[in-house]
Amino acid sequence: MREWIIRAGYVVGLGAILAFVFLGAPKEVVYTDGKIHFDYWYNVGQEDVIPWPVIAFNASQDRIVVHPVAIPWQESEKKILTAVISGDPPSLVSQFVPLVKWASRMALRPLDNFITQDNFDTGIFFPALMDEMMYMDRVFGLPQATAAYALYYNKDIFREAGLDPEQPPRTWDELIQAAHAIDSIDADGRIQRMGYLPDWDNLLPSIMQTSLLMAWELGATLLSDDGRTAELDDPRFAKSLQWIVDYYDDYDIKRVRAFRGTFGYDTQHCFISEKVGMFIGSNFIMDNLQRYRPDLDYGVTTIPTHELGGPTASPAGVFWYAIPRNAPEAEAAWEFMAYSTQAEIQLEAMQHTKENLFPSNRIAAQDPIFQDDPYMKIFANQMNHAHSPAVVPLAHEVFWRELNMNAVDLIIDKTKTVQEVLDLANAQVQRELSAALEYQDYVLSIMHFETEEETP
Amino acid sequence: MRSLVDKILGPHRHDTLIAWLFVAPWAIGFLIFGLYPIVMSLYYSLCQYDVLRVPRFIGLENYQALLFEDPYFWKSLWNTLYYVVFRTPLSIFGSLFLASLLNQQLKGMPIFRTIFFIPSIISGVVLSVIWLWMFNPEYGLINSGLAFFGLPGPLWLQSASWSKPALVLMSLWTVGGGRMLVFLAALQGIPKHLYEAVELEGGGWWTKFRHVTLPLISPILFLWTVMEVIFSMQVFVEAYIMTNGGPANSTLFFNLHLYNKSFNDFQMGYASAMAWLLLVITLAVTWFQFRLSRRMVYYEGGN
Repeated sequence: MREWIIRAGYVVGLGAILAFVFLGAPKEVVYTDGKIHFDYWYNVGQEDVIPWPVIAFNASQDRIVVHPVAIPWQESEKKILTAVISGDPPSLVSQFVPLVKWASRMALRPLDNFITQDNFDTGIFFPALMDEMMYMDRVFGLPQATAAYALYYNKDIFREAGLDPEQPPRTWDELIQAAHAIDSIDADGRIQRMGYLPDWDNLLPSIMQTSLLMAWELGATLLSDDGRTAELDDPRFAKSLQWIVDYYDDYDIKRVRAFRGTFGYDTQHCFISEKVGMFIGSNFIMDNLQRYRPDLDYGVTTIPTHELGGPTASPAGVFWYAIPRNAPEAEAAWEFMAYSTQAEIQLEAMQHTKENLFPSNRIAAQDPIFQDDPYMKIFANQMNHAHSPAVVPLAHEVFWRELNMNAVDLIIDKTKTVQEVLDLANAQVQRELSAALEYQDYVLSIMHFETEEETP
Repeated sequence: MRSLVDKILGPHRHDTLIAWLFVAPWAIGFLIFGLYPIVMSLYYSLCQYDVLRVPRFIGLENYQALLFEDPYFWKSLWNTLYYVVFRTPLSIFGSLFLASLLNQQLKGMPIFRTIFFIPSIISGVVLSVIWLWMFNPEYGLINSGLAFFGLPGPLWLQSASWSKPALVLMSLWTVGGGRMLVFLAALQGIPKHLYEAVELEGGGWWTKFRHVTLPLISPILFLWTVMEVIFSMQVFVEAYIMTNGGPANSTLFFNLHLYNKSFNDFQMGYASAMAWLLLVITLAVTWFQFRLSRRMVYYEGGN
């Protein structure tokens, strides 16, 4: 009898452990106030604060309560991925990786029915940002904010080099001349300062590939109109990459690499530490300059063009809102999205946030706080000439790895010619793109987007 | 059916059942989080699969693409083998050399042993960040040291030809770690009378090392060689933190390529195929090492 009790005890104990392990998931909170509650996952940058639109929206009405949940940006992709697969996603997420990466994987809910139902005007956004929200002729997200880019230049360095600080370069040729005037090399041949660096570096991911900007200015898109053929071998792109090779011809590339190895983040950023005289960067750099080097005399100007008065181009860095598939409160999440992307809310948010993104709403960018500020005005204008960095959306990661991690390194080291690297890169991107399209066709034959018919 | 259950449970039915219950938490965990993913990864390696969408069965296309169309498969394999071939002997003999030095009968030896062991407890990520600065071509400790002797320092991680040697050099940071401790224990396990016998015969330090030390620690050396090769094949953190595969993909190791494919591109099928190929390659290399060992390893207890 005693033995039996002990055995039963073991079994009950083990059962309890197993139950604890498998049923121990936290219970969902049930709200009894009759309001709609939903979770909104947003990325945390350096400032861990509740986004202003959430505060404003929750105060503006009494039917819906948005619960903001901060997730670290390094983790956000994996967290959203897991939440969507588990079938228990938040009702709203914000993200900055290309939206197509998520939309094409059917992780998001199309918003077209909401847009039609509310007669929502998507024309309020900068076109480059809205273009990035589209996949297979459906809208999958709304641009929340963006990073805007322009050419920064250091006025003190310009003066030192005998250049006019009020006459920044307007064309790429003028940029080369200014850059060479700024360059400073010590007696041992070590580079102390450079005028400009035209390519990205794996230790300094904030530099945009100048070659791509130049190709955009020439009208190259690097992808066929139907989105099925990669066109990295476009001669206009080849010409732009050749410009980089020629640019470095005037330098000992080993010295340039050693010089770049001294860069870092924040105070050691190449522009903030005055190692580089000109730099194409986002509007965030102004906040960092204010924080680390309030004394630094700098200017902001339009990204140079091939010909005087020719078209400029800049990258856009969109942050978007989207509703994951099977989101419990899609309708309420949409209401919040539509509210918080309005011009007045974006302008209010700017006044309540320390580290500012640029508004995605172009009406907001017409406000005097942008138009009366000479630098902000430049950023606002660049946004009208912005291009999505999702150049080949379905092969986005491969495109950038090919360009940043391989092609540019090989051509500036003269290991391969421009044509050789472009052929190689194009083959890789095309292979990826073709596979993605095949998979897409297969999936669409058995899976469907969460469409308007299915929502009440 | 009944008889089958009886057979499995044996004569001590209740005890066996209780035993299984105790094993159950582990067994269930293993089946769900161990065996199931392994089996599924084999299946997914035959599919196009990105986690969010249904898998599409494509047969051996992933393997075919890897072997015949993906230049980075071969590039990353070459980079990894380069790392294995240079790192393994250097780390094994480095540790053995250090263990021999620390095996002397000197006062204060435990302190030296501790000093040499300490660097190995630093985590990989922290180590990578420290070495990133040490390798800095202009301000780094290494090139400053070389400059002191009037030597020109290479670009290290900034150069496609120096980036792999730099990572091999960095891996020697841990020569004083667990491996050295095991070698030290093995050296201390060698009977003194064997060395005395060599001395009586008039043999010097080399004879002692070649004919006593080496044969007696050869099983330990072999074990660690096998483990180091397997461990080096999985090199990842250094490249992920320090170079991200660059410059010009010179530090794109196999596992970094696999990581890019799975967690950046979400191509789980392709990445699974890579993982299975790595397993096959690792098995082949290990099998080859065991074949070689028959002639090179001495077991005191006989075969």
